[in-house]
Amino acid sequence: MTHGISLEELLDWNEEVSAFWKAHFETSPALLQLPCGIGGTANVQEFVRHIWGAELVWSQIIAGLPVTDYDVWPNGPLDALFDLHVAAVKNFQMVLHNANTNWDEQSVHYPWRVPERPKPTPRKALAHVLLHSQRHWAQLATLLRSAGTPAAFLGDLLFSSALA
Amino acid sequence: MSLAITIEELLTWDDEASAWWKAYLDANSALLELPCGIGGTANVQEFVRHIWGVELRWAQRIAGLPPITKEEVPAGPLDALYDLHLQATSVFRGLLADPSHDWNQTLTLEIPRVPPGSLTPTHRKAFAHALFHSQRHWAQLATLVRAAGSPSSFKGDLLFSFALA
Repeated sequence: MTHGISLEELLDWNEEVSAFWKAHFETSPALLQLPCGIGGTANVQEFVRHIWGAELVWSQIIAGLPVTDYDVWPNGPLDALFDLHVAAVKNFQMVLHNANTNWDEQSVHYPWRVPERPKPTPRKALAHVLLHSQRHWAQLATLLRSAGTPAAFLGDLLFSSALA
Repeated sequence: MSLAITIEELLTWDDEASAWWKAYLDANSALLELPCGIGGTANVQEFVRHIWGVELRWAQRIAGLPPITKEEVPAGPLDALYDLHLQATSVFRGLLADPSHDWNQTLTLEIPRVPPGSLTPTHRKAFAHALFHSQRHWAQLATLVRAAGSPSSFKGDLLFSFALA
């Protein structure tokens, strides 16, 4: 192992971006009703629910906590969806500060894992979910621009203050 | 530094995604003409040119080489565009193999659209940025081709990568 980007930095980047979108939708709530076909969602609000809900579920899986069922996630409003993200970050921080976490053990079982897929390490699972969000936010930026409402979202890591 | 994703792992993930799209677009070459408005491009071929051209430019910047100009980037065909990625990977791997390379040194960028606060990234940040830039765009491309009725079955999430366990 040589040089890399730490999980704390990935988490900071994730928080920056989530805060951006939360503020953007608070200013432009009508965008939440825009049609969206990504991730099986019908509109932007459902898509945001998918992004932050996935964060919470993965944070619970990695932390060994009971997993909040998809049907229990709130459908809205935006504040309630953002709370999914806030709860996920709390779990992520707890895991990151747990000295007993074996980051290199392929120990993470997720309920929808197919047998031919190996269990990921906590390190991979945490990086996965943080980057899952980043990939989806990029798709969302394109969706809004295509709909004629560009968000001025600077989502690239270059623009983040999470690392120098 | 165990609580990190290494640059080598990110590069391997990037290589996987690039190879996947090269093979997919080789097999579905008509998609290259699909209209695309991302990154100021007119079609998928221009978008792929943007992704791989940017990789090469960042590799050259970090290596202290003159970055290829937009005019020097070939318009196609796909093999020529993929060669940009291969060149970038070669430069990236050369940098990673150099134990004396200082990853904390900063670049001084002169890119008009980049905000002043982002013009002096470390080599480490610039490298990671270049690789994430591609991954974010591949995600957008997957959405674009699916919306056009040609779902690609691209599994772009890190969870599905063999770059790390």
